[in-house]
Amino acid sequence: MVGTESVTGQGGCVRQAVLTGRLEGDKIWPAELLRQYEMLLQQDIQKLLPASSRVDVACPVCPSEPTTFEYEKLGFSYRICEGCGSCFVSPRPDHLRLGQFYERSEAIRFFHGTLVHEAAQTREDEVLRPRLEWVQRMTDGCLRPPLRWIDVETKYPSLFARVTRWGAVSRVYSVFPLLGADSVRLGGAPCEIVEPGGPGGPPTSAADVVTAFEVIERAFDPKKILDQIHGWLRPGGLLFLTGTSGSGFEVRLLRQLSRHVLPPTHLNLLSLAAFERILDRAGFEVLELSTPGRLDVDMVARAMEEEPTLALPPILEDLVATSNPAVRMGLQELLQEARLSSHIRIVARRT
Amino acid sequence: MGQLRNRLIADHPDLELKAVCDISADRLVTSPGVKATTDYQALLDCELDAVFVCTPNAVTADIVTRALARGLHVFCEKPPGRCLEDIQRIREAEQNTPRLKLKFGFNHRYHDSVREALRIIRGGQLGAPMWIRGVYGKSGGREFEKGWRSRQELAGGGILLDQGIHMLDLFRMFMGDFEEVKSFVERQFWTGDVEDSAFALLRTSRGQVAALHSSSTHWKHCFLLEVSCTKGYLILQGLLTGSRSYGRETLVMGHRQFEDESFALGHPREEVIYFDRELCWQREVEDFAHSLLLDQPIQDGNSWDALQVMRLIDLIYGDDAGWLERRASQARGVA
Repeated sequence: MVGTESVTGQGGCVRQAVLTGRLEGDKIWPAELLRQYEMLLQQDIQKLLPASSRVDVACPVCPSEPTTFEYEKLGFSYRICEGCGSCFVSPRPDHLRLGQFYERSEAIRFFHGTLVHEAAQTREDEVLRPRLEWVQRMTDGCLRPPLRWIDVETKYPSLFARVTRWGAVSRVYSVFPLLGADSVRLGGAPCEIVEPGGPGGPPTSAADVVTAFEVIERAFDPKKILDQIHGWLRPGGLLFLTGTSGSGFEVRLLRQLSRHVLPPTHLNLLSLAAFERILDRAGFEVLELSTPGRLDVDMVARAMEEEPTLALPPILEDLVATSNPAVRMGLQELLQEARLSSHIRIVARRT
Repeated sequence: MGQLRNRLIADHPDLELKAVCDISADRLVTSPGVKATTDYQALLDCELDAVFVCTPNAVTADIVTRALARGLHVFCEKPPGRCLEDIQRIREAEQNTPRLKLKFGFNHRYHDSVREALRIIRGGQLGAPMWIRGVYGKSGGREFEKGWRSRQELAGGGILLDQGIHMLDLFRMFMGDFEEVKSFVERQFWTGDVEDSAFALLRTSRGQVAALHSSSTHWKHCFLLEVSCTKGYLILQGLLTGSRSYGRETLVMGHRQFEDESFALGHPREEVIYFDRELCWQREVEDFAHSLLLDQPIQDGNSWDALQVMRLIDLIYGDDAGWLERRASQARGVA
């Protein structure tokens, strides 16, 4: 589709990472727990996010471009932007309702408690530790300590304790912690907590690092959050984003059948081009744009077994369902290299 | 190389090209306000602050020492002459002109993959380096034997001096200086009087070992540098060059892990980083300009780096007595 392909992917971007090695989807997303999570989510949506409370929005990146209905999931409509190819929810709960949802949702607590706990070791080995190493490596190369660090919508309070142990970080802020201030305090590491609507906030143009893991996809207004982040960072400071890519193999093939792309936690499935545009407009220069996901092929293969309505071109079915593990791994790595895996990570410098 | 440096100088806001010299008048690119000459002495007589020396090895030491004596800062392409004695002579001249800057073009230090690898190693994420293995090879090419680089008298050595020198410089960056050297030096395919292959083992006083294979008989261009550390490893493969013939510049990072043998596909978890923007040449010139403008010492590619790497090359040639003998015989004209 016109407008979806990454411009920086055509050779302008400085770096791109690919992660190799086998990862089983079940170890990160235990299937049975994922089903329970989805059930709880449906209940929470009915209770906390009724259809009557939702507002129509335009594409978060191309507000003047036409959009078309794509699919429905858990009572939410996903639309495709004809300008950038992003998929997004509209109508969507307003900002206030979303805040209340995250405060009160049983599903969210289940996810970050039971589900994450069940997969704790794998998440530690495959998500947290590599993520931290990635941030540390990039900051080592680009920034001089001591560093001031902001984590937006904190989901991993244990991050702060590790970051503090580096010795390079002098001040840490947890801004709008997803599970509330107490969850961050329980993490034990010293940090300043900024709650939505609360007093104070990080000083402007002073942070060296902002981490925003899985933030853009759930934001009511991605542009607004990026503008805020831009305001917190000093010129030359680095933004680390992770999330779901709307250009990804699994996301595009499975659409509403994807088991872990769920509203309202996934309101914005931005395409690669959309990520670049929105960052550029917010005053960022992209230093790394990677899609190092390792589960697309696994997820699509599983969906082929479980979803009788899923119809893929036969050649894709053959490739995905092959019994040859080297081919499957090769396909996943090819997707990463083509920046077409569904997990995205970006490093951007505040200009 | 001269043309490349010319472009970089033109692009730098604080450098202005005032004169160019080439022994071949046909190759001189003239521009308004820029003196063009085939006589390097005439160039050195111009009102200049610095000179870029991009010449065959045989004349490098002469030109660099004269430029320093004229009070000019010098950027000199590698190698720093034909032999160890050349760089020693250059250093003597440098010591007589302590306020001047002298930098050598060990530009591989400025590649993104190398910089990242060095940051990782210095950061200790992967532990201490234990061994390093470098393969750097090219195929030579159709006119290879006719060029000055294939003549001992003009070049001072073959592929080791021409290209392997970069790998040795990188070895030093990652491990420091080496105390012991063992080598085989050969001419296995190309005619002429320089080597087309060099194999060397080097060891530091701390027991770290480096292995080098440098050749002009690599029919597929190859740049491969592997560093094994106590907690993991790095693999630098490919190098971003104008011709793209060395492949995509890649850094692979892996942690020490014991692979699940039930799924032993030789495919451990690694992070592969691709670097797609060529900035090494620009960075190198910026570094030189920065040192000049702020009167800061040259950190990368200074004359000490040049001396140490030439010392290693001297040891590598010297350790293979058979090679020295063959080279001497050829020089005497004995078949």
